[in-house]
Amino acid sequence: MPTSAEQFLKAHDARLHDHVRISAGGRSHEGRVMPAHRFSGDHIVVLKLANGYNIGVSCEGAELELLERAPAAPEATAADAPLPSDLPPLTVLGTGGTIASYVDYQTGAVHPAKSAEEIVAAVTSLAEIANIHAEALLSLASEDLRPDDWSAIAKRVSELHAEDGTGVVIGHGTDTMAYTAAALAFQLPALRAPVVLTGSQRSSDRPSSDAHLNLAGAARAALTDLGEVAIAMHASSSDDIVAIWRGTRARKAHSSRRDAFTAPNGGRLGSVGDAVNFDAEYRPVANETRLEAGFDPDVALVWSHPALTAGDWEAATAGKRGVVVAGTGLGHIGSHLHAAVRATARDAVVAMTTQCLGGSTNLNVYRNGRELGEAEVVEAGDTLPETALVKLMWLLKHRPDSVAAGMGENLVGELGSRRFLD
Amino acid sequence: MTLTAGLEVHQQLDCGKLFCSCPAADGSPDPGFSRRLHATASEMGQVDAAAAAENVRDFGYHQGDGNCLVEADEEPPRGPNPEAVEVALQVAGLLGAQPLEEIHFMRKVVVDGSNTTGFQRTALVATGGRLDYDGGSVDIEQLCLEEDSCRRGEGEDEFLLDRLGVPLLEISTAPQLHSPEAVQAAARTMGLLLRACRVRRGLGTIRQDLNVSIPQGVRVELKGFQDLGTMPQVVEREMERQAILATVEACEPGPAIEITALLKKSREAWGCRLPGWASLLGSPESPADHPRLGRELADHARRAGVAGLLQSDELPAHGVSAEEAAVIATELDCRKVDAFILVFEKKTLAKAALARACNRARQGGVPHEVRRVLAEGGSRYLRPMPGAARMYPETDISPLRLAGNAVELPPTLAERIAVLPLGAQQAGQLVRARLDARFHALVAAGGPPKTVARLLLHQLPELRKARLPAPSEAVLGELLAAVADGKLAKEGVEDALAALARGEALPEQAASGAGELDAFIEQLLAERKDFVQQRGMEAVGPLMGTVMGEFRGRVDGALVSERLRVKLGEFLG
Ligand SMILES: [Zn+2]
Repeated sequence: MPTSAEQFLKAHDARLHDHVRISAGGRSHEGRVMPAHRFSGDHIVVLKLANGYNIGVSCEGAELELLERAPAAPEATAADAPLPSDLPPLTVLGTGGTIASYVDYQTGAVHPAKSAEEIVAAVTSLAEIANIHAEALLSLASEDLRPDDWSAIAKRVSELHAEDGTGVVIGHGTDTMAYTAAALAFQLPALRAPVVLTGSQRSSDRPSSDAHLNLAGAARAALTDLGEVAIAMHASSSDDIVAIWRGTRARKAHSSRRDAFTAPNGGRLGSVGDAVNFDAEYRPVANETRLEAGFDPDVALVWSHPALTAGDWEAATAGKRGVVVAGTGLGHIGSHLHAAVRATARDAVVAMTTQCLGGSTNLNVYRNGRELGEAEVVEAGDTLPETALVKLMWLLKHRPDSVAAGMGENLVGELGSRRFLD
Repeated sequence: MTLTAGLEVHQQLDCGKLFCSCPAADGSPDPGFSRRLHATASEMGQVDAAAAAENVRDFGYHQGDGNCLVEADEEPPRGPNPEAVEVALQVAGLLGAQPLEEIHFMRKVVVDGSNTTGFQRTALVATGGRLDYDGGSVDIEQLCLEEDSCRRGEGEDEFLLDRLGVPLLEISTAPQLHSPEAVQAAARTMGLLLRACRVRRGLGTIRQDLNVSIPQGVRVELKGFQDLGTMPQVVEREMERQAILATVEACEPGPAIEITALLKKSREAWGCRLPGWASLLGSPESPADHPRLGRELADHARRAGVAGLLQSDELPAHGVSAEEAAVIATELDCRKVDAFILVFEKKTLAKAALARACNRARQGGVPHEVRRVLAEGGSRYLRPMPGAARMYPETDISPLRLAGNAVELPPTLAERIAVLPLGAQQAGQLVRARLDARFHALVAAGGPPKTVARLLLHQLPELRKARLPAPSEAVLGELLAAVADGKLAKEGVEDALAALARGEALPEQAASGAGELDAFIEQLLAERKDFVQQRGMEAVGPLMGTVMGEFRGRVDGALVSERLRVKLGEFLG
């Protein structure tokens, strides 16, 4: 139903961006009609004044005078800079997220809508690093990506690699970037060229956006011989260094800071300033990219906590083919739940991880753990719970006969046998 | 020469920060972080000229301990602070400005590093109203509530975060001030009016900008006045500057041409011709009424990152001989009436610097620009006048309804002064020092008004100056009650405060004081018998000094005089 402000504008034949005067009670305001804000009052018309300020004016008992029709929208001036031929080629694949987001003035919120071309046009420094081919694959907020989208991205990367073997930078929302990175790592166990995910914590419509540095860092990382799926994001709050994280090891550890990502059990591969510096061992690129796309998403992730009941457990795991438990400490769950876990483990693979921010599981240390182990719960070691979830989905689809064994093996860097003091 | 000026006052509010829960405290220059800012387009798709004029470069920020992630642009803002909105509405009320139905916070793009976000959040809160000042009145155009920017740090492009986010009221008057004195009077009156509300006090908490033009000139914004006292002088200097420059015609500069080969010293150099600008650029020896456009062009060129430029009026100099200057002029196709400018840098930087200087030349004598006021009274180019294109909506803050949001207006300073039962000077001092509420409380507790005023204005500050602890409000009440009851002389307040500060009890000399006084007087009269009999009642004056010497601070002077008269009368029979 149109709001009273919309009806008011319609009744006076005033359209978006028309220059109008709205008068009521001896007071009048002149400005251009702007889209209504979602949280504005129902009777509020938003005007942009000549000095640039937006204000909300009530249409109740008001008169509207149309002063001038909106000027024709300016031609979109696409930045068609000629491609410098001496730079290496690179593909930027857009999937949505803050890095690809612009303000939606209708809702007033930041919206993932812009194409990959527009990101590239906005981030001028990219043009000095590589010959960019931009492509918008998806336009989804990070929290809206589903396992099918992981498959679509992996397939497109594999196609791009098959076509010309150039590196791929994937613009992605940061919320679930680590899930997608892990999903790509399992689906693309060998890479002919780098695959680097990046995003931004401040949208690119802001002068202080971290997209500039992150994209430049990701692009440089994607021009190396890195043969693992990686994430490239700010290393600190400053706009100077981008950290490169192993895709299966990274976690978004802060909701808003630029340096949101970390790898609790090791997995920082290197950093990018003016040049790329690798300071850990990594798998180099292979002769060709291998694709094993797709998941069986029938997996639950259960967070162990003191108030968890057998009922909760059953509700979360009923009918699932796999369960990842984010256990306490070394991988524990209350002994009152062992019977329920044992029952689930008869039909499904139950993998134990730790909900601690770092470290590995070890079910041998405490009795509670040993009993769980006897219930045929498989230890995922220091695999992050979210990575274990993705891995279990992938194993169920591609290694249905050796899922439990697979959870205990390191496939693409997700599981370590040693952990170190910093 | 007619002046047209509008005043823009920025006043910090005293209620924490606008978009987070941090206090507005001075922070320490702890090491922080560095950022780069990129000019972005408004929602109408335009990039602001002032924003585009800034180079992308590294800015350093010192975090300090009083700040959170919001100031560091590492967390979305919350708010706005309801107290700040209330103060804004109070000020609007005092000025007769009308609040808007609904306010929308905007992002005003500022990429000079002074805001970590690259924009300043600001909302238009009220329009209209009027300010009456001594000698005239001026219309209020608008009142905005915005966040203050960072303080500048020690180095170029270094900033401190403590001031960032402090609520700031920006009040703009119409361009209706027509003399430097009117500008000053309006600014002073506005300052006093603001002090009726919860505003911050002290150095840098209120700042004035001016929009100045004369009939031949254009609107120029002057920023950074040191104090109101120098305002008329700065305005006069600006009027003179505009008058001198108004006669200068814009020119269309020639192309940037490399002249490296024409110089004996081997260094890369680029130059371009400024048609018709010969002798307008000036040199350090130019008289005061010279346009000195060379300095203006250099200020613009520096924004590209060069140290400066060399121009034809100052040659031969700086290693360029007269012969070389002549060859350069020929190469650049200069006629006699033309000037030229040179930049000694590599191609990209040189061309960028020349482009900026040429852009200035195309604007003629008085461009529409923002200038920074200098300590000695003049001004220098700061940036192009920002326009509407720098504004786009702040999407992290929802619109705020103001309609139906009535606030109680605080009494003005004049009203507060008028209700004090004191002389105008003392009353004014109390109110300006924001001590009047405390004055009313202590008087209500029984303190005599004059004693309370002296206590608040002099005695307590003295105590503070001596770094002695001040007594609690309850103890002060007791002390004042003792004065009111005649138990303590008002002259004794100082000693009593000192005693309290030493940790002693409130001195008790009420009854004993009176008995002691009479005994002392009787003894004195007996000792000075001859003198007393010689002078009669006139001895009161000389004796008063002796008695007061003994009882000062303990017994009220009036009581001493009274007892002395009584006892003298008795003595003389
Ligand atoms: Zn804060």
